[in-house]
Amino acid sequence: MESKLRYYFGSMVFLSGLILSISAIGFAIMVHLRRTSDPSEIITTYGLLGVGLSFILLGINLMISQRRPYGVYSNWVMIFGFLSSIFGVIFFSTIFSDAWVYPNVTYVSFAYASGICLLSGNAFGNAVLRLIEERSRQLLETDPIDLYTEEDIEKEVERTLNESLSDNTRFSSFNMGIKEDTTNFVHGKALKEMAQTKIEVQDSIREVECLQSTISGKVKVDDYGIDLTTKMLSATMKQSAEIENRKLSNKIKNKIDFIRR
Amino acid sequence: MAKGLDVGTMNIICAEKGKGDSIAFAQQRNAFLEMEAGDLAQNMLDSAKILYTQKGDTINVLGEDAFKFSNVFNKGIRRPMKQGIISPDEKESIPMIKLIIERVIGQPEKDGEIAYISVPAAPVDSKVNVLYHSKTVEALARKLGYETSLIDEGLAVVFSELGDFNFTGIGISVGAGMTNITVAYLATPIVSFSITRGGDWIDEQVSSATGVAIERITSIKETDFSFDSDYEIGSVQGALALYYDALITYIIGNLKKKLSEVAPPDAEFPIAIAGGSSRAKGFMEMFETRISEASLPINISKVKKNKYTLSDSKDPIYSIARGCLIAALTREDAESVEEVEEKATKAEKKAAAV
Ligand SMILES: Nc1ncnc2c1ncn2[C@@H]1O[C@H](COP(=O)(O)OP(=O)(O)O)[C@@H](O)[C@H]1O
Ligand SMILES: [Mg+2]
Repeated sequence: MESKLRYYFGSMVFLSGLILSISAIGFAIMVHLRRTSDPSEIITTYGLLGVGLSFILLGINLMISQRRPYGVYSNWVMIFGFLSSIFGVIFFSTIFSDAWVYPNVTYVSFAYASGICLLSGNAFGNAVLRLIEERSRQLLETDPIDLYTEEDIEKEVERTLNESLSDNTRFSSFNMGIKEDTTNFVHGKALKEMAQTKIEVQDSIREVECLQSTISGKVKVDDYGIDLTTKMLSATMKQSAEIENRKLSNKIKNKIDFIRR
Repeated sequence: MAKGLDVGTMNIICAEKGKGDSIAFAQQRNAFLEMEAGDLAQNMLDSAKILYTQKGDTINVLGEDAFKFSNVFNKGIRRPMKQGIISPDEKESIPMIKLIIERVIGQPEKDGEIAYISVPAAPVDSKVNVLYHSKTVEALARKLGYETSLIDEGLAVVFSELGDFNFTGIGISVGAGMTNITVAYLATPIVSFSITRGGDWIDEQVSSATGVAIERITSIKETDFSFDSDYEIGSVQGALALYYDALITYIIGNLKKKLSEVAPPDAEFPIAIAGGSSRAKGFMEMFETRISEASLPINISKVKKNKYTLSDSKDPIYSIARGCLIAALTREDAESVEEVEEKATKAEKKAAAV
């Protein structure tokens, strides 16, 4: 809510700055401003224009404000910039024409220029930060499943499976796009009655034995041409296994657990 | 009886021990076809023994039949796992997947029967999350009463094909939606990854290059293509050879990159290739040529012919299910040994007590 208020306030400031600047230009045209004009006319025109420009920039700053932690610094920069530029304008209007000479001119222009620079730099910085934030949010949003933990996914799968093919098929929070419907699945006759066809292939699956000995470290060196590393590794595995004096089955199971991640 | 289940993007295959020295494979397409109930008389479907479910006005024809029907009715088939995995956005297909998987794996003989299921490894070229997929497939089998474990598809190939090499080597499964690669040393994976390209990718690329419909490309690829023949530039077969080559180069390139991130042991690594896309005549030879040009950081002894290409009744698409079965049987044996030992120790204790 606060940020909204700030936004409206900012746009009002921006608008008044715009009006001030336009009226300054209008005034200048009206009085046919030139170098030899009356100092009061010059002060009015440039005073209005200077204040107007500061207001415009302040308004923009207020509108694209940042949240913490940058927000705090950015606010100070904004306030300091605004005060500095306004100070420049006031200083100008008090000294103009009478004391409009060397060091004073520098003070005025420095105060005003630095104020404007701070305001516009701050606005630009905030705008860039915003862009980056927006972009990173988009990137995050592309893969919503990453937001879920393994447990979340397990639960979600469980629920989906429980509900699919039950009387009411309904799909839950992961995807709201699917329309709910409450019609039932009717299975075809073949699905219920006919057995799945299978093809049988002659195969003695000798690998089962080999896999067992491989993962238990008992590599059959004579049967298979294997390199020295394998032999050494299996020897070490055997040794350490003997030292630990663990049961063979335990070893196998551990290894399998390892494999099935 | 233990079982091995291969949930592929195109085919779901279950392997179990058959009578005597044999393996029995059950297979269904991982696909279904949506049709309006009005198009078909239900009793006609029943008498033709078509697998289907009805829900309101839609009839979903499942598995193998869906493929036949899509040709007859010229309707697009739905493959919910086309990209390799079930995504959370495909929830409305889960009932179909569930039915197909249940049909292929069947009921367990006893509660807690061991089933090993192959899952794709994390892809290197896509941000998709394989966790949702794995959990869903696992939960489906668990619901039926199986004690499930997951293994990488590439490791399943190693188990099935590289027994003579102490399960040391590289297992590659070139499927439809994905290619899975595992480098294993003594049955332990060193590197495991997948890429989201396979047979489908070739079909799509050739189709967009030649302007021929994708179904036509698939059928030419599967029936009328071999690497050994010379084809005209601009022909479909020529384009197929080109993109097959690109796929192989892509696989090897990624393998090289992955291997450079680890320190593989100094051993010989034979390569075993499985999956439907490796059926193409001359694929192995092509792969061998490209591997020898690639100078991988490990010692590739040879590209091994798949066991299942030696005779007509055998097929490289069964390797993955077979590898899962081997893992399952091994685990079963290990557990029965344990049981026996437990009994033995109990008996000893009893004897000691007496
Ligand atoms: N004879 C063949 N020649 C070349 N490609 C084939 C042949 N038969 C099937 N395929 C391709 O193999 C792929 C299916 O292989 P499969 O291993 O079952 O895939 P997945 O493991 O993803 O289910 C499809 O892309 C299909 O076009
Ligand atoms: Mg497969």
